[in-house]
Amino acid sequence: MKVKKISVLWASLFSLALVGSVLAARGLEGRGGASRIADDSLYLPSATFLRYASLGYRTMLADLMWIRATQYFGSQLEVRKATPEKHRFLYPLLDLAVSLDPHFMNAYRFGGLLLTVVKRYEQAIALYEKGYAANPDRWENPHDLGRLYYLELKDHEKALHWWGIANRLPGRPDYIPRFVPLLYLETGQREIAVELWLEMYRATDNEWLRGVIEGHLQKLGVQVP
Amino acid sequence: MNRVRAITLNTFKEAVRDRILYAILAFAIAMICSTFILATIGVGSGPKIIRDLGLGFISIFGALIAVFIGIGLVHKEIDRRTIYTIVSKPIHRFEFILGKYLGLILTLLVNVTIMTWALMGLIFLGEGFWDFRLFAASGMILLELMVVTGIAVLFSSFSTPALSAIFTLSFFAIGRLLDDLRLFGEQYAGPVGRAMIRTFYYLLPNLGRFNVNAEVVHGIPLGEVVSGMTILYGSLYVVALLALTSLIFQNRDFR
Repeated sequence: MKVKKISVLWASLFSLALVGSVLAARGLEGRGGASRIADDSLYLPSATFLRYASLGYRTMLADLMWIRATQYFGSQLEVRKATPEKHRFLYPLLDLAVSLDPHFMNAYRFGGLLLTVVKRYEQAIALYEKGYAANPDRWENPHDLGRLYYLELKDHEKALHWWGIANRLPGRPDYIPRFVPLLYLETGQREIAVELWLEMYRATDNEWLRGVIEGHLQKLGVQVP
Repeated sequence: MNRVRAITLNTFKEAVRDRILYAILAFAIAMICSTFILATIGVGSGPKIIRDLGLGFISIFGALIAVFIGIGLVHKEIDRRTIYTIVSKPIHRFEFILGKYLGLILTLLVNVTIMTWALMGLIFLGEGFWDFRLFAASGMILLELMVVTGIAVLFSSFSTPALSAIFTLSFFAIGRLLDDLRLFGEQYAGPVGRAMIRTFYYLLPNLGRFNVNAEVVHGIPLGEVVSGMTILYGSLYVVALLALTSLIFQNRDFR
């Protein structure tokens, strides 16, 4: 009986202390003060340090950095005022993720897109170029660089350069070969554009694609053979 | 051979009766399943995150099992004085060490298999197919754990469990960083430093060689990293560790 009483006493104390700690935690919520750091991204470690600290579990850490980058992006969306500080840790976080796992294609692609959305084009280019350097046989990074130069920076020469690279890589989307002659045309290289379209016309049996190419060639006054 | 088998099975039975094993295994499976939550906030990287973290947890918890059961393997027999009954029987001391080692490896094999199936089940629930490539990664994890267990048994044969745990975990950390250490030495050290680092590089266990998680997760062909040479390297290192353990154990005086 005595043992039972003591057990009830301990259980009650446990419950009370637990409820009390939950209430205290709720009371602490939102309390900052000068000593509290608003943004813990200020303490981002270097990729070299993380390589050692990870003890070889680099891809695991890369995933955690990626999650942190996307959450940081989300948290910055709540900041209405556009200041140079806004999104400033997005690139360092993404860079950490891809430095720890150089084959992390989603971090390059989606990370580059996030940087493009917040108009940090230089950093997006740096991320994509790093991705291409680490994965020279993958079409995704040259493709995304081409898209960034074409749609955002309106630099058709550079867009052509990167799409030209993407076009030569295995697994690239079917629409890239159709875009490349258009870019040649837009950069004033009419002869190459015509040559590429004619080559595509001869190489395909697809009626729809042949119709598209015929349309382009007719606009340039070129007869389809 | 029968004597080794008897000790192996006995060690396995003893290990599976250990509550710490179930605690670690339950926690490992809980952690593997929790990767599902992280995957949902991974913005398109969910499948990669589940595999990366899942394989990482198999390796970490496998190493914990290897260390915390391995360090007590021989020491416990000495501490309980059951070693006197064993050494007084017609059994070679190396047979005792080999049996103990194989018993723990059998325990690890069962645990790694359970954890791998848990991860594969999780992937099956999310993606609808069985990713059998994970067995290549977990096989290499097991090989790594065989080396770690060898180190734990070695220290267990002449040291206390606390010190053995510290030494084994240190070797585990150094072994996983050995490639970086060599790279660091080649970049910054002088000729003497480089020669020293190269010596340590070849003498210490290079556990990074068994880490193929990134290749498995990214679908990179395993041919270049998982070769017969890697398996030979791991096996020879284990043989060397067991030989050294047997040598030390042979010369211990149990009176």
